[in-house]
Amino acid sequence: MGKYLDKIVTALHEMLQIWREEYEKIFTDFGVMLLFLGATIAYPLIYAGAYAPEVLSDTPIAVVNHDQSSTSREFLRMVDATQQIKIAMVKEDLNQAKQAFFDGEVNGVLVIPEDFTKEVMRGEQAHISVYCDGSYFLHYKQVYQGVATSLATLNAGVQVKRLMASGMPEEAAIKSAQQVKLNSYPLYNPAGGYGSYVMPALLVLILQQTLLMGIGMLGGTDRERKAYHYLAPYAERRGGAIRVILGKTGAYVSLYFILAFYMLILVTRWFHIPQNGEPLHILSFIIPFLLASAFLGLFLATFFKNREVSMIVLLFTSIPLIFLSGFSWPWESFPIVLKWLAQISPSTHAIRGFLKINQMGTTLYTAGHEWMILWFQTILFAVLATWRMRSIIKHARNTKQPE
Amino acid sequence: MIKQLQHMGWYRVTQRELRRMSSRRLYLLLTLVFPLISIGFFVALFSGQVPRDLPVAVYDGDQTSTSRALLRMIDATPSVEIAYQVSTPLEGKAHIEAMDAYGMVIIPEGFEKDLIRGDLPTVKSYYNNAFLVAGGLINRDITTAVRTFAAGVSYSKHVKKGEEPLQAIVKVSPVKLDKHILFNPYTSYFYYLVTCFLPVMLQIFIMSSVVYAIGVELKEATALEWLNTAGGNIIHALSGKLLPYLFIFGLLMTLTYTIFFQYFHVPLNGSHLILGYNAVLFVLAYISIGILITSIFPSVRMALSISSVFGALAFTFSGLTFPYQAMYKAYVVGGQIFPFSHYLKVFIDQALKGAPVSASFSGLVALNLFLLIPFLVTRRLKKMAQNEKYWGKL
Repeated sequence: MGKYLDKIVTALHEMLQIWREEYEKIFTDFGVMLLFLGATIAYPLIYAGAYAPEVLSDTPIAVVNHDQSSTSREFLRMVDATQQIKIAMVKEDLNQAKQAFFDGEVNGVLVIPEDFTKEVMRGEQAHISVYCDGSYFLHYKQVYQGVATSLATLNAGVQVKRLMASGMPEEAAIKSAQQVKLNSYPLYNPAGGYGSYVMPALLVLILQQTLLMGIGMLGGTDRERKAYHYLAPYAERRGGAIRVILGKTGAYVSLYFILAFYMLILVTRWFHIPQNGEPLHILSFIIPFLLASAFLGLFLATFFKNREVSMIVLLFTSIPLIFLSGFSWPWESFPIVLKWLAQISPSTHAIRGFLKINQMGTTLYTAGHEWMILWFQTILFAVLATWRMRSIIKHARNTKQPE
Repeated sequence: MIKQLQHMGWYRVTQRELRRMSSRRLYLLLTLVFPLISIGFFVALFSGQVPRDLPVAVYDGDQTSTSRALLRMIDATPSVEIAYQVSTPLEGKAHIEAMDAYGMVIIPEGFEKDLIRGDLPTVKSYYNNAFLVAGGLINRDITTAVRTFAAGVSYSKHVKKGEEPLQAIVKVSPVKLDKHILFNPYTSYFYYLVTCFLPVMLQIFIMSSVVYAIGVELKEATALEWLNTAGGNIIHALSGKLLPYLFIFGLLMTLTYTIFFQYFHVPLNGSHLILGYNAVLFVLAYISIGILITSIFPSVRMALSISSVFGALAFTFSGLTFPYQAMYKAYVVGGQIFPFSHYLKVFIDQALKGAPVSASFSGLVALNLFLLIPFLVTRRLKKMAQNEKYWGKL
């Protein structure tokens, strides 16, 4: 009995020893510090700052009004009053307006034709034209929505007036003009803020990618310096590689737990990104994500023979991974191969789960599916990392390369 | 001819660089394998073009032929697919929270009755705006479907009263909006993304290749030999060394453009010449940035970290999805130090907009300015190649 206890104490002691050594390696390596503390602190601030204004308002447009009646002027006032559009200039004809458009002074053009009021009065269908810039998505959306909303109001007004003119009471006329009322409720990001949309996914991905790159860099350094040779004593005993893996992971995850708190709780608050979930649920959710990422990092690191290779290999995966999480380009439209590929990265599940808890204000229970997958990945990557680590340590011992 | 060339320092360096490139697998990964994988990834991702049939839950409290007719109209829109018929609104909310559905439509009890009586029934639509793109698409389509449905009801009421069909249409919508979408006839978010992300990926590889190719000479203390091959001329040493990269990434840009215009049918309305020139400048500008970064950070790893930071921020700072008009001034000014911002503006102006050549002038000038950078740092680079204290940094 005492013998087993001794063994466990020794194992724990060794694990803590490796844990402490890993801290030393992290804090004395400028390149790793740049990733673990530089990138993780600066990136969220830079990105959050870029998207902090959240919504685009008062997109400037040019107006060409060939009609010049009170009806068209009233309509233009409605357009100008929308949150989306500001009438920046009035032009004589379409060519002048287009010129202003190409010069970048306005992002859209609204044209009201000559007979506009006359046609409305006579009960013919009148037309107005809007030219929007299809090459910048947000500009297009703003101009089109602003005009379409104003027009719906105008149309309803015209109909109501006509019905009232034919002797219908106002209330009945309003109902008759609409037939069906539609109430739309944008959930979880009511203002449609761009930062609120992008930041949660970005923050989670920054956690994973900096962690993977940093671990890769540390592993590459060890390989270059032939440091695995010094781990050889551990390989002599059963479970030696596990001690190494757990000790290192302890160092990474303890550090990253603080960083996760900084990013997912503090930065989120500072920049007014919606946080509807309980911080406790968020942090509990994030633990298996950090573990899975750290083990994945250790597993991948065993393939990198120098410091820079890990950077190069992991560098280009960041942008594809953000798409694979399905938050920007809907998951349903992925080809099947990419759907599978997405499953491998912890970030995919972590982003989904984090969105559920953080944006949608649900509990850890609702994100239980993602949470379970992350625990499964934790075990899977831990086994893979241990297996690779053991063979590397054994290899280092057998070759016994001198300094 | 070849004999003559061999006297040129840069030619000898190019030969030497090609030997180096073929001796190490990393070069192949960095210049061809990873870029091609990235291109393949985005082609696969966007090959479905516009997202279709996004799952939506519906709660039909009315269960009449009229409510089912409205649901059919909603289901028939391009982006919506009714995936769940739920028996309570709460059940629908659970689907939204589980992210199985992007939204929910609620048709109230007595919908048909109210409609016939003219009592203005209210349809409710909830959509998940945390997914801005998907939420926006389904909201647009549901709104259109409900409006069309309402107009149809109104129209048939008018016709039943004995009015002429044409008259009835005009009564239903007195003013019609003619939408002219300039430059992107499909109004697809897809064009922004596909034309943007392939170059975004390439700039990362261009910078990393350059930074690695030069940095590894310092790291492995071969820098002096490199300089001597060029006869001690740093300009020959740099141009000879980087020529293969200009060539390879030039080819990759050509491939990218072929994919844009031939495979994805991105509109090509402007000057082909300027587009080609823009692409060459793009590659050269990022080669220049790579040279600058190496000259500041002699350690390869540091230089790679810095170029990855610079590369990762390019998209955000280009103002494509979140535009400059909305950003803080400092970010707009900061955006100018990214060649990608200038490249993208010229690309959009020429390919999509068919803008006059004069509109692209400033962008091309800005890209050319980046090409001056290497000349500012040649002296320092030469010193680094000659001085041992810059070598062997991990």
